[in-house]
Amino acid sequence: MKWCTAVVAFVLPGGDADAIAGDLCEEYALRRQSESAFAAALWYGSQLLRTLPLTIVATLARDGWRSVAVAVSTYLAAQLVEAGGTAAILRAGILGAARVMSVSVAVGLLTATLSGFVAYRVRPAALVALVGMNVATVVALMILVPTSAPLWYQLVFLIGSPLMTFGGGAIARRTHRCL
Amino acid sequence: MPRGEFLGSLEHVVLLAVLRLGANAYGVTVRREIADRTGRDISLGATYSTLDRLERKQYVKSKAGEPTAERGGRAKRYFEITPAGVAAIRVSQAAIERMASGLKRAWNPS
Repeated sequence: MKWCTAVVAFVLPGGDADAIAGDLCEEYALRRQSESAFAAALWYGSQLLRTLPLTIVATLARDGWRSVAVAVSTYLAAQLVEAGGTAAILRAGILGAARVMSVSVAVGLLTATLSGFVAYRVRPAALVALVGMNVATVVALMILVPTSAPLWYQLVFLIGSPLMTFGGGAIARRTHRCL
Repeated sequence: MPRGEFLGSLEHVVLLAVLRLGANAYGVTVRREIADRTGRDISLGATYSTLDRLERKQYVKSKAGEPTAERGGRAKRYFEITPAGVAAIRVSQAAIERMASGLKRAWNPS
């Protein structure tokens, strides 16, 4: 449960993150005294599902939507960097056609990490909005143009992109604390 | 209380819970107090977004407590009702009582 609380505290934006993660942890421990581990875990999961959207929307609204603006700017910049990077590598002509997809994945995930880092440093609450935009884009592409890329490629971005974006944010958080 | 800033039903209940809990009002206790007394199982997210709204209206103020081990080393956020919050409850409660006045037999005929 310790790692789960740490993840919750990280995913939740804004100043309430630590307090809510601590409250969830405390009430889970209280429930474990009178309920089975499964029932307590079920309660924890349901609380998390009900709490996350509310907290994210409340934080973004409180932030005057500045976080959304930062997320949109970071997202657009990342798309430009990704497209430019992939094009430059392809133009160099050092790779065969078979490796193009792999390079595209590497550049995409690297850019996701970088954008997560920048978004968190500019405005921590922007990180969740950025992850949401990344996931929404991949899901939209999977639904609207399912044949545009192989399934493995789409799944790598669906799972890898939010993870790497959060990873970039985690690096920013860690380095920020060290400074 | 400024006009147009009447308490919503959840705000009213949360504010009463904070008042009832005194110095021990934080997310878990507020949520549990409401569940125990009203049977309403609200999420922590709803509890905090309501408390945030009440804080913006200056009906409550908050301060961070000490981190504890049973909370994974994370601090509590304690809430305290302000004089403006007490006044808001008084106005809201009086309005409900005036609206309900003389109607008890309508929902409790026996």
